[in-house]
Amino acid sequence: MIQEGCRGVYFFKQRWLSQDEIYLIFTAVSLPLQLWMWYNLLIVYPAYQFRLAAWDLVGFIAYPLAFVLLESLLVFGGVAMLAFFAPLSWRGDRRVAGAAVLVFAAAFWSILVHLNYETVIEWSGKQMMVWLLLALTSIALLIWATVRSPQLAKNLTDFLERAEVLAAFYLVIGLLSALIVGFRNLLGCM
Amino acid sequence: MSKERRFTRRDFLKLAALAPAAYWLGLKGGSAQESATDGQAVKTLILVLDAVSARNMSLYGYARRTTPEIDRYAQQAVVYHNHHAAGNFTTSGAASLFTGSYPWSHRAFHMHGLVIKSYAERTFFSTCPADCYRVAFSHNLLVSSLIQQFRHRVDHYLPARQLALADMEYSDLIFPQDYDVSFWSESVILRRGSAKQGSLFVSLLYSLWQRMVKNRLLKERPQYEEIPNLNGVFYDLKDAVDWLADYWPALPGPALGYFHFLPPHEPYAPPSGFRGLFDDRYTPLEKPAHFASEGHSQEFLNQQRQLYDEYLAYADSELGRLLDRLTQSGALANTRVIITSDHGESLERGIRGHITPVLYEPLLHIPLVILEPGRTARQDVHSLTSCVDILPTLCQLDGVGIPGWTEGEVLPAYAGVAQDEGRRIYAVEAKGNPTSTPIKRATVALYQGPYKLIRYLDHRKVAPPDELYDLNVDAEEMDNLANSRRDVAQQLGAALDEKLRQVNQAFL
Repeated sequence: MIQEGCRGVYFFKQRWLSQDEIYLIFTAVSLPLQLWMWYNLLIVYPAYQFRLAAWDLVGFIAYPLAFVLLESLLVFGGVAMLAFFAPLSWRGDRRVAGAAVLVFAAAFWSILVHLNYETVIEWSGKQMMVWLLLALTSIALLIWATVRSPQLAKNLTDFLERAEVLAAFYLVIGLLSALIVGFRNLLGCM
Repeated sequence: MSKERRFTRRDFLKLAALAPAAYWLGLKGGSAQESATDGQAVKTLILVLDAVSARNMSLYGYARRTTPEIDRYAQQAVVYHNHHAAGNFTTSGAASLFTGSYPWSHRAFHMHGLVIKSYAERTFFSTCPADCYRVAFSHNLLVSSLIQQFRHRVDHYLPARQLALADMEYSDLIFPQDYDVSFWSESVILRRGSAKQGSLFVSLLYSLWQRMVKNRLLKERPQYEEIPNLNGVFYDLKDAVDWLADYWPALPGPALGYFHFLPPHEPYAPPSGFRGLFDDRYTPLEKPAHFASEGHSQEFLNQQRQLYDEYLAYADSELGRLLDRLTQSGALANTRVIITSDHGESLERGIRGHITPVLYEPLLHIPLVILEPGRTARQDVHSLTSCVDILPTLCQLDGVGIPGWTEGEVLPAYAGVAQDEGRRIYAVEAKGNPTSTPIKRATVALYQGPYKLIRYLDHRKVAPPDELYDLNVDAEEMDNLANSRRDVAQQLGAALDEKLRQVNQAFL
C-alpha cells in the first residue's frame, strides 16, 4: 500500500505544472477572454458614459472585469487539469503550446458563434452536435499538429512569454475590479 | 380549509403576500381598519400595459377589434382620447408617470436610467397619504430598477421573479446592495444589446441554458409559440392576473397599487386563440421612411403589426378577465382603476419598436381609462393630457396638497375647472444626452391645441429642423406644416426654446 501511495505521489509530481507553465497557460487563457470583454465594453461604454455618475461608471466597468477574471480562472482550471493529464513527453513547451492552441481554437469557435448568434441559437440539438464535433475535431487536430512541431511549440511559447506582461496587467485590473465590486456592495449595506 | 381542498403553493403565496400588509396595519393602528369597516376607503389600482399605442386600440377607433374588453369597461369610465406619454420608451415614460415630471427634470432618459436623487422622493408613492398601503410590481426590469429607487416609500415590493415562470437574472440576488449598476453590468456580460455578450464562454453556456428553459416552458405551455420574456425573465400574463385578482380584494384600503405588465411589449407572443386573429386584409397607411428608419420594409412592418395587434388583443382579454374577477369579488366597488401605458409602439416609417429617436403619435399617444366606484356612465375627454398629470390627479383625489415640483395638472373630469386651451405638454427622447448637462442632443415634442411641433436637436443624420402637424386634420402626421404655417411653427418654436432655456438652467 505504501508503494502504491508512493507511486501515486510520483504520478502527480511528474505531471505537476511548473511555475513557468502555469504563468504561460494563464496568459494563453486570459488573452482571448480579456480582449473579447474589453472589445464589447468599449462598444457600450459611450452610451453609459453619459448617464452614470463617475463612481457608478467605475462600478459598471468593474463588474465585467471582475467577472472576466473569474471566467479566466475557471477556464484556466479546466485547461490546467487537461494539461496535467497530457502525455509526459509533452512537458515543457509542447504542453504549454497544446494548452494555448486549445484555448485559442476554442475562442475562435466561440467568436464565430457570437458573430452568428441569431442563427446558431435557432439550431436544433443535432445541428449543434455536428458543430461541436467539428469544433472538437479541428481543435484536436490543431493540438496534434502543434505538439508534433517543436519549432511551432517554441514559437508559441515565446509569444506567450512576451504576452505575460499583459496577463499580469489583466490580473491586477481584475483584482482591483473585484475589490471595487466588494467595496460598492459593502457601501450599499451601510 | 376543507379536507378535499389541498393547501397549495398558490394559497401559501397569497397568505405570504398579505403578511406584510397585516404587519403594516398592526403598526399603523386602527385608522385603515376603521376606514375599511365603514366602506369609505378607496383603493387606487394603476395598471400599466407596456408599449400600448392608442393608435392600435379599437377603443380609439382602430380598424381591428383589439380591445373589446377595455371597450366594455370604458362604458362606465372616463376615457381620455388625447393622452400622451412623456417619453418614447419605458424608463423615461414610466419615470414621468411616477414623478409627475418630464424627463428633463427627473433625468431618467437613458436605457436602464434612474431618476436623479432629488426625484427619488418625488413620486406618487411619496405623495400618497400616510395611512395608504403602497404595493408595486413590474414584469419589466427597467421599471423594477426605478421602483427599487423608490423602495423606501413602497410597503410591499414584489420582485419580477415572484410572478415569473422562470427568472434568469442574478444581479439582484448576488449584489442586492448595488442592484442598479450590477444589473446593467450583468446585461453587458451575459446578454446581447448594442454589443455582443461580453463573456466569451460563460455567456454561451448561459444562452444554451436559457434555450433549455424556454423549451421546457414551451412544453408546459403549448399555447405559446414563444414564451414571453425580457431581460432573462419569462412570464405569462395569466399568472400575474390570477395572482392580482386574488391579492387585491383581500387588501384593505386605503391602498395604492402599481402593476406594470409586459404584454404587448415585444417579443410579440400571442398564444393560440389569438394567433391568426387578425389574418385579415387590413393594411395601414404606408408612410415615407424616416431618417431614423431601421430599414424595415412595409411588408415586414405589416406582419409585425398583425402580431402586435394579436398580442394586444390577448393582453386586453386578460385585463378584462382581471376586471371581471375584481367585479365579482366586489373589489371594484371601492377601487379606482387607472389603465394606461408607459409609451406606445412604432410600426411605420421603417421603424419597429420604441428604441428610436422619433416621437410620432404611435409612440406617444397612449390610452388612459379611469374606472371609479359608483360611476355608471361613460365620460369622454378630448382635452390634451399627459402622463405627468396622473400624480397631481391622485393628490387631488386623495385630498393631499399638489406638490409644487410636479409639471402636470389635475386631469379634466377631476379638476373642477375648465382646462386652459393654450396648455402645452411635452415629450422628450434624450438617450444621447448626458444626465447632468443641458438638453442639447434630443428629440423634443411640444403639443398645444391641435398642433404638434417636433424638433431634432443635434442629430448626426440629416433631418428637417422642425416638423409641425395639425393633429385634428392630419392625425397620421403626413403633412409637415413647418413651411406653410411658419407663423405657428415660429410661435411654438419660440415657446419650445424658452422652455428648454428654463429647464436647462439648473444644469448649466
